Amino acid sequence: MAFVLTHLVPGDPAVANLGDRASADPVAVRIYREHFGLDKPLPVQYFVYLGNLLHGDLGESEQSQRPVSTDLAEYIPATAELAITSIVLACLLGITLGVIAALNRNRLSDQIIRVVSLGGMSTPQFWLALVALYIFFYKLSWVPGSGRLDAIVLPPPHLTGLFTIDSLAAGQFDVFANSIQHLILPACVLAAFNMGLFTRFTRSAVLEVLENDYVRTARAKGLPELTVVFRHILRAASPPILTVVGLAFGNVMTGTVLVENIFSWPGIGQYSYRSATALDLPAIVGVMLFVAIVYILVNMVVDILYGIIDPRVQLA
Amino acid sequence: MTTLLSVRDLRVWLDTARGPLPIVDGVSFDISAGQVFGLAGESGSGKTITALALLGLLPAGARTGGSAILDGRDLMTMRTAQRRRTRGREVAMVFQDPMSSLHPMLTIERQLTEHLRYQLGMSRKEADERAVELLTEVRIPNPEAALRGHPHQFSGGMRQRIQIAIALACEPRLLVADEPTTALDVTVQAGILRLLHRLCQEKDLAVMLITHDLGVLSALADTVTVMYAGRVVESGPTAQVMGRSRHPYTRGLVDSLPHPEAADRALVPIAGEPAGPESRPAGCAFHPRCRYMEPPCATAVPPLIRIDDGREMACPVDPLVASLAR
Amino acid sequence: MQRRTTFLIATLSVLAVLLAACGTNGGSTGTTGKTLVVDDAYTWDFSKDTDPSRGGVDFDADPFFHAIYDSLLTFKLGDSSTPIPLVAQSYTVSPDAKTFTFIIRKDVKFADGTPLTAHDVEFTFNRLLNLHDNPVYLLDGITSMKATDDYTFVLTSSVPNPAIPFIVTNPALGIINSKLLMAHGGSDAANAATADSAHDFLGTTSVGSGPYTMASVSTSEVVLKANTNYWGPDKPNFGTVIFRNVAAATQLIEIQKASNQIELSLSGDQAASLKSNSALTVTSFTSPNITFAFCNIKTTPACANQHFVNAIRYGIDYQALVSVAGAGSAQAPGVVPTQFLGALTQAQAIQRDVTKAKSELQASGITNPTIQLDYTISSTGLNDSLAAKIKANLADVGITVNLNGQPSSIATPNYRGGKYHLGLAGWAPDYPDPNDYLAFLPGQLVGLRAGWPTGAAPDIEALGARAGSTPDNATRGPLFQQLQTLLNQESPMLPLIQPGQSVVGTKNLTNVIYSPVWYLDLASIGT
Ligand SMILES: Nc1ncnc2c1ncn2[C@@H]1O[C@H](COP(=O)(O)OP(=O)(O)O)[C@@H](O)[C@H]1O
Ligand SMILES: [Mg+2]
Repeated sequence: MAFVLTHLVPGDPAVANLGDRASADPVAVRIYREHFGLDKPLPVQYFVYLGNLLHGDLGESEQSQRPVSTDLAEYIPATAELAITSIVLACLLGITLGVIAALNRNRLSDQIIRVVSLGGMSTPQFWLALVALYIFFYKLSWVPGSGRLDAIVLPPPHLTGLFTIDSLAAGQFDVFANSIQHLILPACVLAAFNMGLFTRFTRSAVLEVLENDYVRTARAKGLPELTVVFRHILRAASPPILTVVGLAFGNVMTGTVLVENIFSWPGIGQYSYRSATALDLPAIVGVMLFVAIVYILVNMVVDILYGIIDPRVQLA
Repeated sequence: MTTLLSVRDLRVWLDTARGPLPIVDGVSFDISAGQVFGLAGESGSGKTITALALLGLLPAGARTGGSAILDGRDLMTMRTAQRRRTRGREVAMVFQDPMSSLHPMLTIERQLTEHLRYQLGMSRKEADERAVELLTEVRIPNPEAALRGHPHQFSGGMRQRIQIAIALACEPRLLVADEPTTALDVTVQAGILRLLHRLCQEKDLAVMLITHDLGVLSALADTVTVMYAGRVVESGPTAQVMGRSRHPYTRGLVDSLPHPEAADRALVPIAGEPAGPESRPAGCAFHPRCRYMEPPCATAVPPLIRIDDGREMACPVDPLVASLAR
Repeated sequence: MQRRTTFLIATLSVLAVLLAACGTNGGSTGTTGKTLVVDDAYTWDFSKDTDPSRGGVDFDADPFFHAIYDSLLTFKLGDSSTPIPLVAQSYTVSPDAKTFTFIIRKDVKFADGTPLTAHDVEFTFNRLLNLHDNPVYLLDGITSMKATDDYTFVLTSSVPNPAIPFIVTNPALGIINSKLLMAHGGSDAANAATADSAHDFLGTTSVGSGPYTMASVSTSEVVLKANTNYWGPDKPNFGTVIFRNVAAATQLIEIQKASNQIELSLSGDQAASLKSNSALTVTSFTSPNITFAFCNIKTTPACANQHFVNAIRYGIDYQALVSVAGAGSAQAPGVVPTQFLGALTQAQAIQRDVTKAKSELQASGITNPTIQLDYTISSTGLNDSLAAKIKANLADVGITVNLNGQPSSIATPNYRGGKYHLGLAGWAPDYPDPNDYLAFLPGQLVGLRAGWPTGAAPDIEALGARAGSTPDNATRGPLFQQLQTLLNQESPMLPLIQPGQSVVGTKNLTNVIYSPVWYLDLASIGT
């Protein structure tokens, strides 16, 4: 499907990707086409692609001239680190704010939180990224600039590709600190939208739960309020929250395109942007496959979590 | 027979769309250990709010007045943290609907032991042992297996027993049971009531049994207080209040009960609708529905007056009250 | 009721955030000596080609190749008019401008210590030709390339080509360590396009003799280290150069706190906003890139009508386009950039003349013409602004222009396929010599894109052939001027501007000087 769609886009990758002079050189174009199998009819290309896919071969990127799987393996960890951190941040903040808003419904704190969450959801990410960089890097110097590490800091030995984890595993605590400092701002910017989303969903989910008698039962036992909130209220409110968190992986993927660009974050967002502008079909299809797999995995995890959270849900 | 809890002039205002409204309007009663205290009245008369006020579980925006003295300490003016410690340990509560009063996603074990561990500092093992004991006490078959279950695996009656076990876990001295049988089948009701009665006697527990069904109280309660529109209209020993009810409202309630010996006798419901807090009539709130209404009923709130047979009642039209008032 | 809870929850989350954000500054510095950071918003994929023979002739990659690979000849800093010796200590040109003999220095060593010989040069040139990748056109017309002995290299061209000394300065022709590369799959054989398997090796190791070597390449940055074996007299000033891929908007913020840093991708406006910052040096250059329009005769028959083309030519407000393009921009008086031999002067440039344009339109006999303006939507938005201006200009003359901006992946094949109507496009020099601009003539690369086939303008074609093959630059220059004057009178080509190029560096840096071939000479940047 993705394969056909990307091939329907007008434009010839050979002409688009080769240089000004080489694109007019029939030999250069022929070599390019042969190299990427573009010389064969489309149906043949498709079956060749499918056959290779079965062997886990995603083909070769026309941009990097490396196997797409190698490219993905290089770019995915950076994005994973950013996306997961941002979703964790969005969850921590969004759910906390949502609970506070619900417990203080219609009071001042609820109003303030509403403004914050709406702000997070409606602020353009591009603008937010630049303003955040300007304020926290330039004005306040709270965080270092773009990139995953300071320019002079060497990446930790490759283990997972997540610098935070790899540096800890290697015992390089200074690299760890540096990677966290670099991670925090782009992750926050990427988290802004989801923070707002989670806040609103949590608020309404918690309000619904608060109506229930079992919350009163929990309070009647004399449990401390925090236990009531976290064990009883949040637990009951978690299925709808979990659903949006699952969906959030989708918009985080979209968000990475901009955020990675501004923060020079070498991840899938930048890779897909470049592949798309260069009509790098194998790379585009590879990214689409990756995103699809993420969707499927996230959905599976969400389904499993449903079953764990709510014993009434039977796993099909 | 010692008085455990002494409630005096309890008042509750709730925040409604029309601003704060008096829901409970000067309610007083005493509850003694080892006795069942019945709180009766049509739905909407403020029974549940009264009970929640005692536990400090009123909805946000509520204001309260009056006092509720338990062991010389006034529950109504206690600090929040102190108040919380009385919940479960001194005053526990069982709610009306067993379907919704248990957390659907937590195991029975968790719901039965979390306050044991928090309030009494028990270890997990101790708490589990105690939980088995409690389930046995409330007659849950196979208690070990039940601990691992979730509420949806139990019937309504069983859930109500579990609720009672949860309430009893920290050995409170007062158990408030708000309509504990209303949502249950008739056949199951009797079992729950017997259980409450037994616990009350065996454990020297004071039980505050709240119901709109006077029939439930007649066999069980030692004393009964009847509320209407947030006020007490009549209270006293069960035999007096139910056997020889004097207040027109209490009488109306009793008359609307099915009579065990004369099942064919037509029930006589009270005419009219109960007064809501936002449209509470001046004077005796019951006067628009009262057959014996006289002009003074519509102007002054009748005071509760003690009559010689041990009951108190608020009805200026009643000859006894009238004679005492003179 | 929940005051305390609220407070607790809020405190907890603040703590969590603080914990996550905490950490000490600094980090293990894996580099020695001074470090220079160069930021560029590049589209070149560093993981693709760290092979100069494939990834060369790329604006973003050239500074990198130039620092690693020495070529036969080079230019003095800031002067691209005369090739000077580098790997070749001298060269001679035959009188017919067909044979070029380069004498190779004997003291040049590759980074691994291997001495460089003429055989390495032969390998490099052969391989580039046979790989047939992007830079292959550099060797157009070359019939033989031969190491006649260890230190003599001879190039022969089928046609007179006085541009050869300029061409061999290109970083794509930087000399490769042939022994080392052949040991790792490198091939210069006729079937090198498929037989050469050195791609992966070159992704980790550089095989040049330049002042820097490649230390690491990742998708986000390339790290260069000073070549400890460098043969040249001047060691580079910086021990490490980090070439980072950073978006322009981010560069604008980051440069203001940086030291030893250069930003390459700032727009004229962005650079101008930094002028007041005393810690920075903002330099605006007129780039040697030509932004031009053309009227495609094939898709738009009216373009064959010289009066119509002239109506457009005199209708466009060039000064307005220059001001749209921002600091450093200048009008392009002809297709050859003002920096190069044979360029026209600004005084010879076309000036807007609406009256003349209107009379030309009348003379064309075409009434109420409508034409579509095709162009690529550029990331800077410059093309959109230029196109909008042209549309407004031509409306004054009575020509209706419909704008058709497309993303590059769609527009580029259209442009190269000759499908544009009124086209807006750009040309970056392949080498700093007017011969590169013969591409604009009938039947040539750009000419064909304008639907201008061989034989369409015999006078221009003849003059072009003569100019291109004249060995003596003193004669060649005026011939190219003559050619361009003709082009400005009777061709579908409409040179517009040379956009400005701004480089912003921290104040302490010296020799941040623009080169039309390799952009920046990293090794000569000092403090
Ligand atoms: N959360 C609330 N907000 C406003 N009014 C309430 C609320 N809860 C109960 N009430 C009102 O208080 C009155 C007494 O309610 P309640 O104590 O539940 O009656 P019952 O005697 O049936 O238990 C009713 O009229 C009800 O409408
Ligand atoms: Mg009730």
